[in-house]
Amino acid sequence: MIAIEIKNISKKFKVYHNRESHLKYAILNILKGKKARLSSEFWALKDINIEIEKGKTAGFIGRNGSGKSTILKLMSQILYPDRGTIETHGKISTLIELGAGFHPELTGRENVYINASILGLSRTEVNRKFKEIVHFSGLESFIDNPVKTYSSGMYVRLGFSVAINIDPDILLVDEVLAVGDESFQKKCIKKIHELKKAEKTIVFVSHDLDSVEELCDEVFLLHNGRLIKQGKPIEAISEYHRLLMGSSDLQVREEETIQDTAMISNGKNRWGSKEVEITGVVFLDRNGNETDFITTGEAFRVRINYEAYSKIEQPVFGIAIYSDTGIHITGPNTKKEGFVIESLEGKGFVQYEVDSLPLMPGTYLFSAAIYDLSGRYPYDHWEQYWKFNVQESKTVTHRYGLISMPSKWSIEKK
Amino acid sequence: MVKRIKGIWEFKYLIYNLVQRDLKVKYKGSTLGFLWSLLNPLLMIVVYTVAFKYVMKIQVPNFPIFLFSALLPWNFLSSTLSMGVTSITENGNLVKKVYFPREVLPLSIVLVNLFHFCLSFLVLIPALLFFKITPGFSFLFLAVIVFFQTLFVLGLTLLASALDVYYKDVKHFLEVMLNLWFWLTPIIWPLNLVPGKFQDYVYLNPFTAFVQAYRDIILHNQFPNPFILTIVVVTGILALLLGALVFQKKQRRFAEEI
Repeated sequence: MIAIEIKNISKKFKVYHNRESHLKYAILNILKGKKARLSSEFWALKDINIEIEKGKTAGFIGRNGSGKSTILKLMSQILYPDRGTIETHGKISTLIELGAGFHPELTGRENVYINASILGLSRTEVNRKFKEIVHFSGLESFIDNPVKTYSSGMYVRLGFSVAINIDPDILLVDEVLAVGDESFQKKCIKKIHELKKAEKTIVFVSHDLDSVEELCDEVFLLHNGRLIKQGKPIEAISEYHRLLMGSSDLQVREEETIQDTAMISNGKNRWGSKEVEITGVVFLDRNGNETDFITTGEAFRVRINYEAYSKIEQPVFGIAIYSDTGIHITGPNTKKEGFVIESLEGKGFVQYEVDSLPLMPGTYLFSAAIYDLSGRYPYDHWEQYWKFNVQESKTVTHRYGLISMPSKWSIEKK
Repeated sequence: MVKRIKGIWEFKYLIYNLVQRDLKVKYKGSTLGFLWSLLNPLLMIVVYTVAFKYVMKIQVPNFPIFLFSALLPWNFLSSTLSMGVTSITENGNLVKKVYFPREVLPLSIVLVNLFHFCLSFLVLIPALLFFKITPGFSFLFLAVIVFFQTLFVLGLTLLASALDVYYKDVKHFLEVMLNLWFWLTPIIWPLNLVPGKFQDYVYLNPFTAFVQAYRDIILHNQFPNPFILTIVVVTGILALLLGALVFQKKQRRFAEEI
């Protein structure tokens, strides 16, 4: 069953050059019988088609101004599309502005009632949920004080408690999960998980990619008002990472990564002090040829090219391999495996070798990093930046799962 | 349109809460509380009576009741409009962030003022007794006039509040208009002050009919004449239709225009 159906939606915004002279121009236009230019337009969303199934959690990611908040507002009918249609099935609640509509002179209790009714609850529903809301906020002892006496944290907590406890069919969330102290945040995430379990449809707009990855079943990546990627969280997120690096090509080549280094220094998927840098990663097949296609059961080598700008004592190289669903399959490093590198200077590469690759066919993501000996000081860390494919082997006949273990069967009858 | 009304009905508890909130906030911490709603019209009537009856010597029998029967409905109209015109823009934060039928905002302003209006009628009872007018059967008809005036006021408030989002001058324009409108309506002057052949023109002002209807009932203790009653019913419905249509069309862009 579809909870939200977005068909061919486009939305344009007007940007006014001069707000004050609005009426003056309107009158002048009538008098002159022609249109003076008051505003320019831009398309915040263009030709979007999305279906979100009931019970699923969908995430929208993208840069600021990519249109992700606009799409949320269209779903909640705060905005109307210029073209296309949106159909939603079920009661919607929007967590955009917490405590919107709170009146400072009224008590917390009175404001809970008003706020809940703004979100569409009836009197009996509020009565039923009141205790739960107050308990969730942890503000039992302040609930009969005017909210003007609340701290901003208390204010937001109360607002959040109302919004999350109204039990909608569809919950729209815009960047508000990071409220309150840590224990309150945990409570919020727990509540979201409860709603997920209860088969509620949740739409989630956020910059917090970790939460998106944790919570969402499907992620939509928007860029300049267009939907450019839709799929599993890890796929969309890594595409977003590539986008942030200025390249939306999935097959990022070594040369490009070097060129892009300057642009991504602040990107979320690369960090470190850069006294030594990873200048590229190359995958090699059993014949030592550079390739992104490896075969199950065959030899697999990864070459991590580095350049050290000063003498680096006892660096630790590490890698990680993830499935395309984000499962961390392996994460070895040189220190743990007793491979000691005394020091580095200048260019070179570190090689990681597997005699017989146990991974089943599919797409995998690859991280590489250089740390100091303590493991707490990153020189250069690239998180899930590279991608390689594993193809089917003629000799390995396993069919299911992520890995293929050398194994044999036996039977003993008694 | 039916769907829209149904949508508003689903938010009836919000309307109730907004009305209650406005009433509560208005009188919170004041000792006299609701009495202020009564004192205000009473004081206005005393001032106008002194000014017009004794200073300017306008010859109208039962002047305070004459004034009262028109001034209270006028206050309902003017205070609703001047409060209601900004009902969307002032709640911009809410409109931009949360969905609810936007009609709820002007509607709750109308209801708050309707409440005050009905309350201020309480002043009427001692005043009528004082001037030895016994309320008759026709007084029941007040409810009909009040109902259609409410439709009229609601229509205008919807219109004004929707336009205010797009044109910032609407609020100031309205202020001037209300002032002019007050003097163009036979509120503190009797209709028969106008020479006979011009009297019909005064009815071009839609509020004249409402005032005359109230006077027929309160001052003359009789049913309003059918001609006046027709104007009251028709203008009430037309104003509401116009306001609702413009509002519905304009509200689609409220969140981006505020």
